[in-house]
Amino acid sequence: MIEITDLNYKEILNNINVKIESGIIGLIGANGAGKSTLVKCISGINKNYSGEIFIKGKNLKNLSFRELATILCYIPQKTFINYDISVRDFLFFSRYSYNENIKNCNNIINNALEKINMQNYVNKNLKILSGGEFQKIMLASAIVQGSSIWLLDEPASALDPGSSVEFYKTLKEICSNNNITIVLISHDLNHILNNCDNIIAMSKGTIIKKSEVATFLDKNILKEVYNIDFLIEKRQDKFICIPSI
Amino acid sequence: MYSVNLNKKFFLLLLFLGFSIYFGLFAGDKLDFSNENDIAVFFNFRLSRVLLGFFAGTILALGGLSFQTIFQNELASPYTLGIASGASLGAAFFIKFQPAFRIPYFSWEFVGAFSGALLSLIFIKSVFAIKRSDSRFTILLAGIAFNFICTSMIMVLQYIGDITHSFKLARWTMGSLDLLDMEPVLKMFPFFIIVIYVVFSYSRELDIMLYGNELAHTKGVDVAKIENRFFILISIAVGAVVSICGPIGFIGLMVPHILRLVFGYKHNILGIASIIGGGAFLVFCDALSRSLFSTNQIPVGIVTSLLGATFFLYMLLKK
Repeated sequence: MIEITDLNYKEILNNINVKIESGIIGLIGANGAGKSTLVKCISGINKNYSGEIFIKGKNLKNLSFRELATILCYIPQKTFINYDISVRDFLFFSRYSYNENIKNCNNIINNALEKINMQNYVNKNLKILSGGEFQKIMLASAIVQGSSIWLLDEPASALDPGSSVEFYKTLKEICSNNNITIVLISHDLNHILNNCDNIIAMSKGTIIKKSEVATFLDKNILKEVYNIDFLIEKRQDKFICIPSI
Repeated sequence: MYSVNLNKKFFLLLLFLGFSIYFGLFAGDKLDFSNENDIAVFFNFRLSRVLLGFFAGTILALGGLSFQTIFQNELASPYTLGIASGASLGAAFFIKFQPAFRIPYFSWEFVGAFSGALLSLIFIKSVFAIKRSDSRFTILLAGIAFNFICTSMIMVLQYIGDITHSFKLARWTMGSLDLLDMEPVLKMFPFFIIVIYVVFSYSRELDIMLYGNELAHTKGVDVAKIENRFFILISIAVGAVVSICGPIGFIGLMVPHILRLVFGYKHNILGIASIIGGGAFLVFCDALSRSLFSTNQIPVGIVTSLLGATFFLYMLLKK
């Protein structure tokens, strides 16, 4: 799906080489490790990189923004909504790269909102939604965009525990039903360990480990990533990971 | 969300346009339409002035609307970004140092204003390239600094010029819709069409860009390409306005801001509102500038700057 060779960006990313296949891939690392910068390079926002990025076999530099938007969707950590806009109008933006009639577009928007149980929000003003509600709408915008690769930068950071469990459940369903590759940046290791298929760990602008989740159950690897000890346990088929104080 | 009272809002805006046109056509001395001279005055002075004001007001308002969206900053306009000042300096340079030969169709002020607008555009783009990751306020501050540089240079031109040039420059920098026939109106018309065309062609893209470049990129909008097109076409059109009318400040700042509060964020609706509102506002200000004093008229640039600067202060205090 995504193949990166010899990627360098300013002094933030150093010699990144990685292949990202299907499934949910957690991207972890301490603050300033280069996770968001890497994702912005893959999404075409950070342009002046050296090296090559291939998305579904096509060189990123040869893809137009419209083409890229139909293949890949990036949900940034923060989006500032300074002006009044309805949820429907905002989600309508996600269909920009497609030439289609409004009726079809509205159906896609309604279906997406139904998937995240927010049908009643369609005419609400996005500006007045809570942080958590807004993050769910951003998930809906990824669904509406219809691309097969999603890059999500801390998509559930503002959700309460119940909502975040629901959020990851929806994410897994969408991923398996629609064969979508999801690259997920998060600091919530509990969700990363329990919901991801693979994990990529970054430190100081390089990838230090890419492996299955089981590998990351080793405390030493997490200590290498975050420079802190963790307690990892398995209870009722779920992994619990907390930093030891 | 916005459609409930949309017709009512447009009706009120059209009413303002109608009033402004009536005020523009009939402000000042009463005309006797049985007299041929008065009919000539009506067509050559009043009607042409109303049309020029409408075209110029529209260009400035649509320019401000698009720059405010592109910079995601309510204080951005062709005036605050320094484009109008650059155009003024270019035009002022050619008023002072007018070459002996003429070029077809365009006046030297026209050429100077275009060159000045493009020069300021290069300046802004350079700052933008250097400070890309920084706050867009940097660009505005650079525009304000560029404004001062241009104003100082114009003052130098005034100072070293003879009395005729100095008076002409001083009068011109106040901004005015004074004209003697339809020729400037016809010259302005293509730029009026270009600006309308570019805003409506990219209205959907502007809607998305209003919520940030990152969001626009990820939805498939080629932000850099659109920014370049707007910078070049709006600058050229503003150059045309400045070359004919002089620097008329604050319309590009005030009108789009007020219209955004009333009409929401959609640029196809805001575009229509800016055509009506921007045009009507300049025609109204011009008629006001001719009616304030019974003995003499004051340049319209003074009226728009007085209203605009007050509004600018209000916005700064509100922020």
